[in-house]
Amino acid sequence: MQIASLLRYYPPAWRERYEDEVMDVLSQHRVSFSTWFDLARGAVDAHLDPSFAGKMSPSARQLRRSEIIVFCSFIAFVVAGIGFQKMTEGADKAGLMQAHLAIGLGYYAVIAGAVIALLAIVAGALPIAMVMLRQALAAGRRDVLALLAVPPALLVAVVAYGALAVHPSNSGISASVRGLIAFFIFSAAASAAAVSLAATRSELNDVVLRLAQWPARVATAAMGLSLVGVVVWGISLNSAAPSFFTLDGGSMTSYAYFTWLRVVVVMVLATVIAVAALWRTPRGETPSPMETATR
Amino acid sequence: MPANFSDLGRFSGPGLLILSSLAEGAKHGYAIMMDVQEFSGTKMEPGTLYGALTRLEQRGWIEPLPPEERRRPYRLTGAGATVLRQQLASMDQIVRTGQQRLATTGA
Repeated sequence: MQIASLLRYYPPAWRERYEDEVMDVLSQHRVSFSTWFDLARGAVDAHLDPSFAGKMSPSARQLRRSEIIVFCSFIAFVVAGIGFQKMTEGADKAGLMQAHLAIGLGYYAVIAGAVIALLAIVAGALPIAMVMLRQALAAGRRDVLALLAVPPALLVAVVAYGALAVHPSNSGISASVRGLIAFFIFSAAASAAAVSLAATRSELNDVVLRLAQWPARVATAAMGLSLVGVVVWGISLNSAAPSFFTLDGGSMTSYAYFTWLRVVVVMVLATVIAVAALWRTPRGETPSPMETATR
Repeated sequence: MPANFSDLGRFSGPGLLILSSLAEGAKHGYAIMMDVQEFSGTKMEPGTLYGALTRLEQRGWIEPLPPEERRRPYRLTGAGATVLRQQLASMDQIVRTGQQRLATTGA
């Protein structure tokens, strides 16, 4: 790695102004460990300097921050949702859902909320991802491109891990399944972090960010619907079949009660964080999708 | 200490060295580094140099001149010269006080 590659981590406005000069200095300077450390520290200083904050308006920055938080909350929600899905497997639970209206309603509320939230996140994130990709390709931002490549690369790795390490003949929770679950959670967290970092390094305009506010609100509301569904499902199932929560039917070989509780806690946290992020964004200026389409 | 100089934070030391270097005349980045090392023995790294140059320029104490290929010279402004004088006078006062007290106590 060349020392000059560290300059990629400086804000674009700083690079536009000083990069050539620093490259010239570096071409004559005897580079040592101190030089690497000093340049890396300088990048942090430059990012903290508001005069290099770039061309994004303060409101656009606030919108970007709230949308990143909603996206990360959604990813945490999905991970918890997979834990819930694992709990609902089994013919006995399907029978209970048919026999008890509240259990069935809770379950379908979870599914409906999950589908709506997924579609909303895709609708909001896709235009932003396209803008980020186009900007990164045009500006030769290999750091942003590498970050955007993390989710597909990890998806391939998770699928490959699942295909190679987990055998369908295995019954119960084997070590390989536990490994797959842990790797999946790691991949989800790493993908969310990589995409968020790529977004913070991109100059996104107000229009695309404001347009994403509606899907973010819909996704958060849908997360709330799923959360209510999980709670209703759990309480109703506990009334109809209390033994279910005292048996070893949860994920990762834990009791179902603890799995359900973990799912609820993660979903509550994710939903509350997403609501708080949207609450703090500037209101009254967000155009509806219809208004934006007619501009 | 003159107002605002301490606002430079960790760049106040390098800032003073750069202003002292530019008091001699306009210089570009690498020439400033070499000059500072020569008159003070301080080896300034590029990240610190440009962090300090940025802040001095923002305060109007130095100004950039038209670039010569990739090099851009900087020169001291009137406000920069005033700040430098105040800062050096303050340091001079500290030096003289310290020396007098050492001479008095004979430590």
